[in-house]
Amino acid sequence: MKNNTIYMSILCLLLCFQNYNGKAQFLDNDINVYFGYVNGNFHNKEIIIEGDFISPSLYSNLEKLNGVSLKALYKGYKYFSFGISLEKLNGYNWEYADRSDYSGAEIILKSISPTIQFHNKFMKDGGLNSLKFVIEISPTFGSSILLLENPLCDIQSENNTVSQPMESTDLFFGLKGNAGFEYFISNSFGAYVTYSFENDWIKSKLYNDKKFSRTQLSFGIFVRFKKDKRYFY
Amino acid sequence: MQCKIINKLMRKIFWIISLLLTTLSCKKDIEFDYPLVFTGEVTNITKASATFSAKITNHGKFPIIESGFIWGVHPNDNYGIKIKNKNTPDGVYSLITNESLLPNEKFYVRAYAQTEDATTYGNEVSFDSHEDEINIGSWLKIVDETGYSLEGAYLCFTINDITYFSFWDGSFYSYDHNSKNFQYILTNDILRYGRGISATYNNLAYIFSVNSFYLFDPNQLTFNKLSTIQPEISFNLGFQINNNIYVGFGYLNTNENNREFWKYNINTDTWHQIALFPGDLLSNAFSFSINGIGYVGGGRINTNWPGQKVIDLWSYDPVTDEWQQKKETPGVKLLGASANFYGYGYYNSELFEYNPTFDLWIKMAELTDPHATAISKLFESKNKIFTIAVTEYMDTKYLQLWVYEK
Repeated sequence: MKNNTIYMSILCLLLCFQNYNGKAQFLDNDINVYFGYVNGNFHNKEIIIEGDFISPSLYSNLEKLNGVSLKALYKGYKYFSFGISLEKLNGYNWEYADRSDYSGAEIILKSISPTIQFHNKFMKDGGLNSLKFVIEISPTFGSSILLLENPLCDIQSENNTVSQPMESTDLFFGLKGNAGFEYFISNSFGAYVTYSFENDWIKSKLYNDKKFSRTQLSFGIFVRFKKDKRYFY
Repeated sequence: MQCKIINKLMRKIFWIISLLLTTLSCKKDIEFDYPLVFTGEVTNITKASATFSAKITNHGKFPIIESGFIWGVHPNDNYGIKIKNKNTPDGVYSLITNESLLPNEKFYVRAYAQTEDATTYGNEVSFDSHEDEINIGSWLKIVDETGYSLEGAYLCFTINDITYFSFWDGSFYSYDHNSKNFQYILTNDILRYGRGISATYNNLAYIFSVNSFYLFDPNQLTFNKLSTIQPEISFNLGFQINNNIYVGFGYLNTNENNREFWKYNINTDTWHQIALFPGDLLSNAFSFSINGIGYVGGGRINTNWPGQKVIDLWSYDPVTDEWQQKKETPGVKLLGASANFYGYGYYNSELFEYNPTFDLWIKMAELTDPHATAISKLFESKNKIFTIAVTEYMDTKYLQLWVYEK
């Protein structure tokens, strides 16, 4: 509820800027660097079924997912840009029925995504002089670090020298799609909001998920570099 | 000029991506030396059985020599009921329970995988069994007589449908289960100095008194002394497993308490010391044996009177010569006996049944009789549990016997 209020406030703010900015004229530019906050949710089924084996999913039962993103895009052509984005997200608050397998556990997702962004053409005036609608597609590569609060297995040896497995780092890959808009606040700064869907594949020894899906809402600011210093009169 | 800058920038981005991808791909998986196993949800729960499932996600560096499930009514119980895989599974496996479920209980199950020097237990999963009424059985009074001047039954054993009782004064009586006749036989000091330990084998009785067993022949009504234990110990408690009688918690002839347990072999008439009892030195403890395992529990710590009350239960396995602590008993001053593969504990009109498979005590039918609190002995005959009480009320002495039926 709190998050929704924040998103709505940002959206209203951006639209207000849009209304009062009729006479401003912004320069086009080639390089944007984005810093943002990400909030999301895991999807997929809450249980995993493999033949007779039924167990609760790790990712789908994590109730919180948030973190930060960093992205750099170069505008190569009128309608698309390309670059790279980095994300570091934390997943936590695992809950499933009366089970406590991953209670207190935390997932840290670190990923890198070569990104292609499709957007509308920059206009010398009007609304599209300050507003850009974007769609992004990115293959994603990353690592997922599971940090357990309580051991999943209890390894007992005669002299009790075996340490319990409490963390695991596993690589994942996937595909991500973004849609959103960017708003130029000034010739040097802007703000953005995007909504994304991502599907990833993974294999781990400490959980049974083979894939996980997530939707994310990202918002933040971007710095505009390499401006095209031509004004249209 | 612009192209040069773009090319330079693109090269930089390329190198950053390459570096990051290399860093990610070079990050090695954490390796686990021991097996990792996950317990799945329990399915197909019926009145009789349930299906357990598990997945081994990592075999580790050492070969798995045993795997399966361990389950029961107690959480995190390493001594629960085991179901083993015939072969080491690769990944997912499932097995059906090997014991019938008890009604109205919460059960716990963990998958396990064992290597030569370690055992991995998976996460614990619980499930509830079906709800049903428990048959708590009932008591039936079979003897209710007056006129006997007796105090507390000491010994009880049954040979050929006749139960023999000795009392504090050394008197010896018999009860014929067929004719329902209770009668006096004799009085003997061996019985007066007896410690309440007896066993039967091949229609003969073995009665412990002072420092040795005496062989009682019901046909000749004779007592023959068997070999004496060295050093001399006057034991207080015992249980029988096949042709061995296990005794313990005695006194040395120097009046010192002794925590040793000994085995008397009926066939060879010999004594051998067994593993030392790992619990407290007890007095007024109870004992019984079920299916080749001996059980000792309850009582008080026998160091200084009256001694701290104890509700521990221990089992003794003669095959491994090892004692193992079981779940606590429901009371301290229990009288113990076993019948039909269950143990029974009785105290102050309450009867508890011990299920050795699940290591569980369940309260059974109460003996609602004014004389029930005076019961001094619980004994087994023909796979049924009996009690005997000798009481005095308004200058009249009563002798009563009850049988518990289920």
